[in-house]
Amino acid sequence: MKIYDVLIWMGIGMLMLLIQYGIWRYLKKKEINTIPLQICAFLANFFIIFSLAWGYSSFVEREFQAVAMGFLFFGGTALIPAAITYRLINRSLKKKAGNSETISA
Amino acid sequence: MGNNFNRRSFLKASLMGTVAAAVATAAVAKETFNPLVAEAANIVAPVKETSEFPYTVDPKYQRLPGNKIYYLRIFDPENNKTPIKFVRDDVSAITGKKDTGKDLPKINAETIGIKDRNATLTETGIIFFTQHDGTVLPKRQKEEGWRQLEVALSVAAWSVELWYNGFTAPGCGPGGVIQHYPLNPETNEMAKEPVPFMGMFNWDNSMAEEKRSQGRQWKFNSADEASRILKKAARFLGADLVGIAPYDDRWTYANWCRPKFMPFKLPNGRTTFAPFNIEKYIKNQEVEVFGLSEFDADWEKYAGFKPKSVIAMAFEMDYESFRTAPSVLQSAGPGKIYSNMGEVSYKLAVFLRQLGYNAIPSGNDTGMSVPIAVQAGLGEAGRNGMLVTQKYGPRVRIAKVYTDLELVPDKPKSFGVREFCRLCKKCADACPSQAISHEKEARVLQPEECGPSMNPYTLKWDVDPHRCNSFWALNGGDCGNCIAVCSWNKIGQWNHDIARIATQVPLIQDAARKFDEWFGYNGPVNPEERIESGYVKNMVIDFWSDTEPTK
Repeated sequence: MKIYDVLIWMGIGMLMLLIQYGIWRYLKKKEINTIPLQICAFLANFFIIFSLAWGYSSFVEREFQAVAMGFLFFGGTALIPAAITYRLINRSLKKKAGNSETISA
Repeated sequence: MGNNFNRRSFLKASLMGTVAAAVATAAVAKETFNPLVAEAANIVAPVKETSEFPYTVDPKYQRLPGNKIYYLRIFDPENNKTPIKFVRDDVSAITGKKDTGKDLPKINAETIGIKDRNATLTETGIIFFTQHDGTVLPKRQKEEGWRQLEVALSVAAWSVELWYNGFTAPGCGPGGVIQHYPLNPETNEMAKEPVPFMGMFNWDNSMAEEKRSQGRQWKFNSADEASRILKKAARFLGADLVGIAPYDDRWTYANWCRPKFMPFKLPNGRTTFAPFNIEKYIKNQEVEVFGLSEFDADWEKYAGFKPKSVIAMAFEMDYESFRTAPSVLQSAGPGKIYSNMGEVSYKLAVFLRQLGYNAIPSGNDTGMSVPIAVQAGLGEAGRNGMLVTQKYGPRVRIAKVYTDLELVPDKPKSFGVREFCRLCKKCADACPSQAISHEKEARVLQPEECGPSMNPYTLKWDVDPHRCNSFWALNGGDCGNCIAVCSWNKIGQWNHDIARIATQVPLIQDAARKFDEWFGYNGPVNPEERIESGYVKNMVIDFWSDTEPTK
């Protein structure tokens, strides 16, 4: 294993944890840091990282179509939990905002 | 938490950073990840063991005679009298596509100037062999993959098998015969007349006899210990996979034979022995062969013992050269391994002989390697008639060493290949001559469905060697498409183990072949598209430009 290979795998692992940390901070900021939302966001994170890892491995293997397809397929899969998480967060925020208006009125 | 980054958050972030660094260390990252995924694949897609030979063998089954092996029939003058006959004249009704192999005998006949009939089996074989050993350059000699450069590498890869092992790849035996020119050690002059002797697949057991006569036969504590030591020795000496099969007479050819050779004078004054008339072929493209020497498959007579066990070894063939299939550069992959097989099996035979046990190293000669390897638990027999291993797919060659040492046989293993082959059919679609069956289920073949070189009464998919070799003759080298495109032909990487899990999920199983194609693994399946799209050319360029092997 070459040093750049080590660094790339290390980077992929760190990126996954940093993204999850970012998700945690984002959910905290939105004040709806629930375990189901964390899991849903983690799924999106996992698929993004998986597509990166797949892409890199396929690149090393010189299978360039597999790189592209990996991003399309697994990256595309990541969009589903990402969209669900985002919509859930924002829907609850809108609801909260609507409720507060009613109360204030 | 807001945007304030207080001491508590800093500590949390630091802790997470440390965890991230620890989790993502190189050791965790790949070296651990790879076997973990492979382990997970083994759990989801478990390897099953069976106690009996896993495929139906009808009681009417008979051993295949050596003189019926396709590559040996080439040298039988009887097969030079009538045009080659395919098992099925036209397969378009079965495949629903144009039969791309149908016209090959006609095209091959035109190659050697025959206009009014199809090529005979012998002519087809000789057209192939003369290109395979570099005597004649292929028709596509101006294209990347078929140039003199690639032919030279292919011949270099095959050279040890051709000139030192005794070229048993066509199945000739017992053992291989080579010819070399004696050297006068005092004058360093080489004689003009060659002397024939046995190659690396050497049947001389005098070394074992000598050890026994000295009372030096090594006694193993148990058959288990002997099996473990033999496996270790085989791996150490160069085998990639090793297993032990009990000696089963069914897989030994009913007779052994090799082509008859005749002397020819070369322009440099030397004599060479060849199994076909070189002069006539070079001058007039006329094909003449001299028949076969046949031997009873008598172990006692030729080997001096009756085997009890067979050590089956599989050798990985080069991934990159197979990507260039069906170019001549692909042929360098099997060539290199055929050359290596002779060396490793000879060494393992010497190991056994040094311990005072008889051993016969064997490549494609003596007996059928695929059922032996299946019995030894090295893999499963795939649609393309080849051994499909879990680690390398069908990208392996098999050698075996027969011995009279009592060993504990391994059990045949199943990891989903036969199930997957029912659905995939990639090899059948990629075959330029449509030699591989498109039928979904494997069947116990009946004699009327088989050509002379196919053995009926066993459960398998039929493969027509006449069609296969007809394309080889046109191509100028062995093709390898069926190995190259196989969904199991992958390098040992974690993402392919994940794909292996997918092959076990019923719904995804049906789509697995499509995914393999969409992800572009092993290039276009359509044999014409493989070449015309520029894929083969690109792979050839990649092969020569990247000195690091893709593993």
